[in-house]
Amino acid sequence: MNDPLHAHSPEALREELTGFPESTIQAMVELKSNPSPGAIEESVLRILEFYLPSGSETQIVGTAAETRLREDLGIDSLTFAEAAFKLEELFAIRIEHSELVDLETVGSLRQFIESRIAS
Amino acid sequence: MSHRVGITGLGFCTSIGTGIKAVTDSLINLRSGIRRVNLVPGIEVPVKVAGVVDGFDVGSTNPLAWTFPDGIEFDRTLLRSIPPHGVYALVAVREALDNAGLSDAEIRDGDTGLHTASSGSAMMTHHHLARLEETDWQRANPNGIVSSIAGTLNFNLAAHLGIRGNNCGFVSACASGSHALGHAFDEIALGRQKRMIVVAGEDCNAHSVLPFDGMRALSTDSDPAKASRPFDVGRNGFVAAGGSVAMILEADPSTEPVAWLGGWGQAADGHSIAAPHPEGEGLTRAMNRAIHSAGLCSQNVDYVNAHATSTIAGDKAEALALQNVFGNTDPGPQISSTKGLSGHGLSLSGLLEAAICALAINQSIIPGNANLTNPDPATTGLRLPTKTSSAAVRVALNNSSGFGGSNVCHVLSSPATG
Repeated sequence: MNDPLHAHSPEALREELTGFPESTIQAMVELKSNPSPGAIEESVLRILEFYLPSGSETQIVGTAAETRLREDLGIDSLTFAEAAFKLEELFAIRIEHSELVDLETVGSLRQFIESRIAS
Repeated sequence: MSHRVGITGLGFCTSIGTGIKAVTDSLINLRSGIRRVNLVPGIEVPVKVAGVVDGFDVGSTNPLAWTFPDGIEFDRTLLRSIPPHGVYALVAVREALDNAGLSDAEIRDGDTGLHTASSGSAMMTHHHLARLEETDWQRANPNGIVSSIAGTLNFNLAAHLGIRGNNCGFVSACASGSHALGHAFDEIALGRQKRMIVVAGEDCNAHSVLPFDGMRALSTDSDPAKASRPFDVGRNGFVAAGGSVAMILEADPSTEPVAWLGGWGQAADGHSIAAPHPEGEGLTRAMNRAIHSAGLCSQNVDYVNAHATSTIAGDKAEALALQNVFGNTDPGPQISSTKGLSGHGLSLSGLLEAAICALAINQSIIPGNANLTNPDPATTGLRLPTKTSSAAVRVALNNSSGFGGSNVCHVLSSPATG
């Protein structure tokens, strides 16, 4: 598998993730040397957790596939766009608006990561 | 039906202090907020001084990298969409709401409106557009617009506070804060809103300051103690400042306000994009309109907070306008520009100085003209104290002027005037 974070040195990754929890930053740095599909999925979900409403104790990692991102987790449209922009920056991909609209549940999010980032 | 407009809350996050007490102390002791700054690390630039807010490091384009003084913190979701001056505004508005005692229910009831003044954040605009261009115009930060354009303060503060009344931003360069306040007065006087929150703010960084150097408008003095010297013959340009001020207005308050806002007036020069009318023609009319709007005459004014920014043309034009309005009064009001202490806060300045007028009334002080050692001959006959003194201030006039010849003035009066 190719390095999914090829555009970023570990230092650039840290810069890009300033303000994120250290555990998330560390997971992303380790992902560069060990880009297994499982590690990619977990790292992406950790990044998305950062965008949950303040005070939320929810962990997307381990959440049931049918959990709805907007209704159950409270992710609004601007937050969704913000998280998508961060993934675009980190993984050098382009996420189309239509793809965002189709992401309704944690399960569809996992499928998206698998097909668009981890593949 | 017309309502009286009381100023019931003030909040400051400025170069001359964060909080009412710190700002009052700075005015009394002429403690300057102007510092030596390094606007572009590693590069020598012509501008060496600015009015900065102590304790805040908001130089990064990533809000998550910003640091604040002890005891001040912000929710991450609040920071993601604000410009650097947004944090100053949040600090100022918290203080103002706190000392006005407005409840969340009142703020959200539809009878509370919000007026803001800010020129936006050139630093954030530059960053987001540069990043967009780097990605061949493919990848735009979704918070890029709301964190940078003029209007950023009203977008963010209205959502954060839950404002359901009037929500509007004002852009008239250095008269913006004064327009925001003047039109807030109208909202209450005309019965459209019961309460108005008025907030003005500006960044202070290379992007917000250095473009003015191209206009030769900035002082290139490197001595913070001399660079801003309004009305002095040696003045050579203004010193830019950032920060924020908030003010709460209420209709017919049941408890004694800090001061009354008695009226306001505006008039434009019809003369130049940037230069003032050389005889201060528009400012003369704006002052007269404000005084008339408050039902007073020039003889009633005890104190004038001048706009004077320390530019050669602007201070002279204002001195002539003050001669026009007060030349026949005896002894005439005491007049000071507090920009010798604070620097020039651009969109922020009009509201900062209206708030200083409210403090002058509330604390019975006449702020002095810092750094004024050799007054311009155009000021002959005007009373320009160089030290702050204790004196009852019944009526204060606040002047401001902006690009395009906008002139806006407010009249504030003491609760003791009834």
